[in-house]
Amino acid sequence: MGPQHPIHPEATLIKLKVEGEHVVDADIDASFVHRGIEKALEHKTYVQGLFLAERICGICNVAHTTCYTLNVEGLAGIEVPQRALWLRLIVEELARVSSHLLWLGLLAHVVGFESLFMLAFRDREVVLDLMEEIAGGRVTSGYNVIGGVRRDIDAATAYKIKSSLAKLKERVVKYRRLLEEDPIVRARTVGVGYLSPSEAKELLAVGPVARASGIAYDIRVNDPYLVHEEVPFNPVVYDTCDAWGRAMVRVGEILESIGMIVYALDHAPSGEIRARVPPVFRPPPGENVTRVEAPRGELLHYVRSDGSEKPYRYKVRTPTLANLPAAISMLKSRGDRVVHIADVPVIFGSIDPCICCTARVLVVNEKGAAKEFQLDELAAKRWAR
Amino acid sequence: MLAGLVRWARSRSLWVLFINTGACNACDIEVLAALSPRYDAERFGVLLKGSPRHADVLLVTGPVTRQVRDRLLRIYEQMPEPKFVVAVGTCATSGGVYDACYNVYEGLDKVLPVHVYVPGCPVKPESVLDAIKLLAEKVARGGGS
Amino acid sequence: MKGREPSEEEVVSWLRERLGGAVLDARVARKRRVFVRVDREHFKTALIALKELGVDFLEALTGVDAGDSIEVIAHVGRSVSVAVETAVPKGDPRLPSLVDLYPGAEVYEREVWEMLGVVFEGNPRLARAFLPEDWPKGVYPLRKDYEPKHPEPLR
Repeated sequence: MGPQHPIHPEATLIKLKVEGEHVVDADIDASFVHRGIEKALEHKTYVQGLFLAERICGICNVAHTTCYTLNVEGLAGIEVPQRALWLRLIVEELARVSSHLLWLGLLAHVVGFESLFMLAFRDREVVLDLMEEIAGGRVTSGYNVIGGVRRDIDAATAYKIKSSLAKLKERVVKYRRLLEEDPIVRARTVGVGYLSPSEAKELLAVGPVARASGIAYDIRVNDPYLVHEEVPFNPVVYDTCDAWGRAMVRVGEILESIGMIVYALDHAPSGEIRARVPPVFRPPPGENVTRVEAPRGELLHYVRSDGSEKPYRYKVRTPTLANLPAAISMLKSRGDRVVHIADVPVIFGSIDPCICCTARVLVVNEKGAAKEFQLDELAAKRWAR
Repeated sequence: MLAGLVRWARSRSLWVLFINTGACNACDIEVLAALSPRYDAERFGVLLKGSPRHADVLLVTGPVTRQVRDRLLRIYEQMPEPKFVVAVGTCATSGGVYDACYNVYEGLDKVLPVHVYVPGCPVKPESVLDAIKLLAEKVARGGGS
Repeated sequence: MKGREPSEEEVVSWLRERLGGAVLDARVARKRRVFVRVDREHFKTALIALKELGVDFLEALTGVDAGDSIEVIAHVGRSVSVAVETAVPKGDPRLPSLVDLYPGAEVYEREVWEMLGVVFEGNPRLARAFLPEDWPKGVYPLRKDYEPKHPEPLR
């Protein structure tokens, strides 16, 4: 039985059919974390549902609460104070930095670059401390509420955020150069996990996966929510169509996010941070769609109200689900585009799966013999290509 | 007397196996942090192991989905006696926020015997260390498995 | 029209022009949000028409139990998000698969099928996506007649 490691939190099964060292077919079973949340949301009031939505994914929890609160506020016609939107943006971008640093550490671990893994995790602790200072929680922040945010950011905290992020920025610039120049990282990621621009389009890829294949799709640009129209930033797009491109997109996004946070801290208007909303309220019958750019890509929430205090239907489409078809495609060898077993952890990791870096891989060879591995065992199998 | 010595020694070198049974990942990250140099569970003799056959302690996050249950039981069976189970996080403790979710059990103790519960949503790394300390004391005292 | 996304009003007038009376309802809810309801026979046609207009990205498929029918909503678009809704009777919950239009739709259709029982004809793999292997056939968790309950505790 495949052992578990906290670094590969969620249980997923990747099934591979191989000929020798080449992967010829693949499938991904993501059912192990299905909990039944959409059904549960129909049995909770809108406020109760917020806390459940927050735990759809612990790492993306801010994206989910941002999306949920905007969705419900739009449905119920609740006006959110301007300052709250700015604060939400700050926390959303901070969560993106935290998520991308986690991802960078996991990538480093998979390619055997343990010192980069340690550095990324250490840097992430700095960001988690900031999150705790702002929101009261390191990981699950509980910051967004229906109507606004729970706590304000005062001048002292703002100063601390800016000085911590200034130091972090210097280190991330170094990591970016490392990704550009280090031969081991490049050997394991350049040309690996190829997804052409047309495949990315047909297979409906989102987030950094799409942006590394030249598709400039970022909800913060395409469908600005919060105050994205007022905070300058550039979506990061590469056209190398490989795992390296996805790494470069994410590292670039960390730097963009740091810029956005600093800008927002300097420009957020003063004022109220929360519109008072009764704990139980009944939005008028109707429906709403809200999308946010989660660290992993476009997150979509749909809600339908029947006029009662509980949603009639609440639908969540996570970015990782959107990227599953692309992930499966990337794992298959095609023509002269060969996928080696040892590439599988990097390829799967490159989509930054929120079913997370999986525990188990089932490998079936041309004779029909099946063997199960832990994902990072495959990385060690052979890397000389 | 020898038994006491063995218990004492065991309590100071608890080898853990970790499994996520459908958690949102937040607890997993904090367990990882507990094992990292900043919080350093290793100074308590705790080592993360890859195989159930080498583990004394099973650290479990998540509310136990239907799909993962059999694998969880299999892992537990493969662990040698004496073995201990720690439910990490509110979900593992009681099902947590997933109280109306059809695909999960209501907490780890609906599936396995649990020795230590660590509340928190997510837990803090300090709580995980505290839980290990509590477990070590229990083991040293002779609290059975 | 390709290469530039249409405005909300252009989406509505294009669909009315192409589908005529098959468009049962169409409204611009707010900036970048259009909700359109079409009859079942024209669900796929509407999506084909939208693709020609440059609304060529399928974001999600939502299924809703609406009592006697199941509503299926295709969310399409990158900037403007268009919700194309249709309804199928519970007694005959079939729709043509969108997989030839959007290959990535396969997993979305599987989800709507296993949660609500809508059969997408032509989907190459209408198999379980999230529910366990031993989930009872014919039990669709997102239908309103299903009461969520935890599995029986083992101890």
